[in-house]
Amino acid sequence: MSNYTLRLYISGKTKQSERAIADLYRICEEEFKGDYELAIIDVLENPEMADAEKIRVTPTLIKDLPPPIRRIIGDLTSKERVLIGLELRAGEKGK
Amino acid sequence: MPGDGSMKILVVEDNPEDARLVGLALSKDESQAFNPVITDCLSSGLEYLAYGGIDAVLLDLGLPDSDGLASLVRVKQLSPQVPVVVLTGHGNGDRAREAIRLGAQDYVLKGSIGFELLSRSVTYAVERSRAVKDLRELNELLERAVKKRTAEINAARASFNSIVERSADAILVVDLQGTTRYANPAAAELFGRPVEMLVGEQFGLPVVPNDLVEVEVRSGNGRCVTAELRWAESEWNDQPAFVTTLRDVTERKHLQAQLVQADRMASVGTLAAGVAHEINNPLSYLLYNLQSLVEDLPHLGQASLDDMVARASEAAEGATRIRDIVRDMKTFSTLEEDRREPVRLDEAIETAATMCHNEIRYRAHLVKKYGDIPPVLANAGRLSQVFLNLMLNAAQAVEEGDIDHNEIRIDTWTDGKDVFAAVGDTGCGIPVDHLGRLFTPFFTTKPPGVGSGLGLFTCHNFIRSYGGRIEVESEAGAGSRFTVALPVLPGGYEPDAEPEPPDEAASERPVARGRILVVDDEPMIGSSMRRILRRDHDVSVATSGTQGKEILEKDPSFDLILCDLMMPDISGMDLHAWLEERNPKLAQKMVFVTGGAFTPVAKEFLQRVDNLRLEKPFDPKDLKAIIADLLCRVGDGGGSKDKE
Repeated sequence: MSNYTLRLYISGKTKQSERAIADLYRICEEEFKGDYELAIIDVLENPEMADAEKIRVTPTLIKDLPPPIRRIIGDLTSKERVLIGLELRAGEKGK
Repeated sequence: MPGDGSMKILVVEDNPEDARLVGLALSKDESQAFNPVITDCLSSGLEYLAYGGIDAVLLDLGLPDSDGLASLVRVKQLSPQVPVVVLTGHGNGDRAREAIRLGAQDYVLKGSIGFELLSRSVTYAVERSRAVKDLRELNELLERAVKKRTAEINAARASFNSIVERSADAILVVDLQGTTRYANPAAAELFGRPVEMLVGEQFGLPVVPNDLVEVEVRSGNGRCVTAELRWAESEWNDQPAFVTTLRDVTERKHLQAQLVQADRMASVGTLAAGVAHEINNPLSYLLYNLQSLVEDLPHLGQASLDDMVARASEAAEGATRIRDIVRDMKTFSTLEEDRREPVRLDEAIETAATMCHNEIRYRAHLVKKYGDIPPVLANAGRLSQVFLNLMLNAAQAVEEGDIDHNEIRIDTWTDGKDVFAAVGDTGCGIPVDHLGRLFTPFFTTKPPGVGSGLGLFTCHNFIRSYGGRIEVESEAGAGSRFTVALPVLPGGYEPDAEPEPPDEAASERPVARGRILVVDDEPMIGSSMRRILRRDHDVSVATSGTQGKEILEKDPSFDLILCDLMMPDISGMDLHAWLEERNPKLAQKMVFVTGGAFTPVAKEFLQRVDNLRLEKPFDPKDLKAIIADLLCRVGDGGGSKDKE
């Protein structure tokens, strides 16, 4: 069982999707060093999974583990910001 | 009340003795002046009352024309505001209390009428009644004010609501847990779901507060819409929250792409002249040498063989230069697809430099100083366009003429985290008030038709999409310097296995003679390939797809079919389809020879099939080595897509 479990919802194989996936893999590799599970869910191929999770926009990233569950929307380019957003790193609150 | 401060008291009393006593009692009070009006029946009392000006009524409950509490009720009915003090006989305490209940201010028992008691009772009654009246008026005033204020607040709220409710942008309010607290009708429309469904569900939180990102929105019918999503910190019901605005930018993006394309076409247009110039020089001596070769060859005995070789070499060199230019131009044709791969900035700069060589050469000298830099993850074509734009801008910033003094300088370096490339010029510089707007779309200082104002905007977008940034420093009259910073490719970089340079020995190595069919609608390509290959192989040439088909119908025993992809009658793709049905093994032996420019159909076809492919132009030695290699592979029955 990995310590970090993440789900990334994307829409089709667009440049944006590819970038989000690449960004996320890079962050995971650098931060979690293989100790992670990352599921990529294409909402166009699996609309029912997206409906179940009420995914309204993509890319949406959900962190299931470690708790708390966090759900973030936005640009995944910056590792620092993503980690703060996922509450895996302390950041300036409300900044 | 009369102006002298006296109180006008209506005394309704039928007993003259009692009336006299009351009058006496009221007149004896020194602290308050009374003006009693005495009447002996209710009907005339009511007339006085109706006439007005009465401050209080002293009412006997035993009157000739009305009895008891009924008198009080009638007085109260007529003038509810005027205080009444009832006069009643001894032993009627219960009746007196009932009178209070019905609205009398006070009661006075007749036997005990004292001066003080009576006048005090009347005075209090009047004062109390006045106080009540004042209070009532104040209350009414307050109520009116509250009503007015409430109406104002409601109106303000209503207009605010109507702004949010009618906004074309979808607006959500998301609390700090990421739960939607409010959604406007535009949000319901964008997401294709009623507001009630959106409110209460988990939406998510921003990666960065106050961020602006582009997202795909799942609208109800399974359609995807591109939207710009903006997070703003705010409050909802006194709790911190995020206001999320989503704007459909599908149409705008489409327009922008068209504009960027138009801008590129414009810059490609200005470059075409330069490129034509670049090609013309080598092409002239290539042609000249080849023509002289053709003329001199019949007289071989007279010309020295060395000279022949030199001319042929020059021709080959000219052709190589044309090939490089064409290759660089092809880099630009891949702009649309943002396929990212490790790119070295100096290579992208070199490509750009070739393209704008002609623009720069008469204006400035170009100094390039490349540091030892790692690659970045980007699209080579787009990076080249960025540097092309920066270099063209630099060229336009310097005065034409003094090329020794004018300098365009390119430096690359790295700090381990980012790779930097700076394009500096010694031109006119940028006015301070322009600096902030350089990267905004449609900002241009060039005359109409010369610049669209999208060049730097596009550069900025490209670089930002690779996680980088562009910075600018400028000094009026001393020049400008644009610095591009891009993150170092994480995790190091393993260069793709370079295609092995065909080793000289290999091409000389004896290989098994193969039977090769060349199908190309350009007869010169066919004949030159035959010339190159015929020493080692048996080569047949077809100059159209139809002819190729005819040959293959009669004789399917070829080891290799080198086939042009794009041909007017029967294309390489058609031929492949035909063979696949008829002779799948032979279909596998097809190698597609391409010029590098594909239609979408051809692109899709090449992605689908496993056949090997060769890209024009190739040099004879390479071709021989590649053919030898291909013959081995096709012989093994193995195909791979990576040989381009």
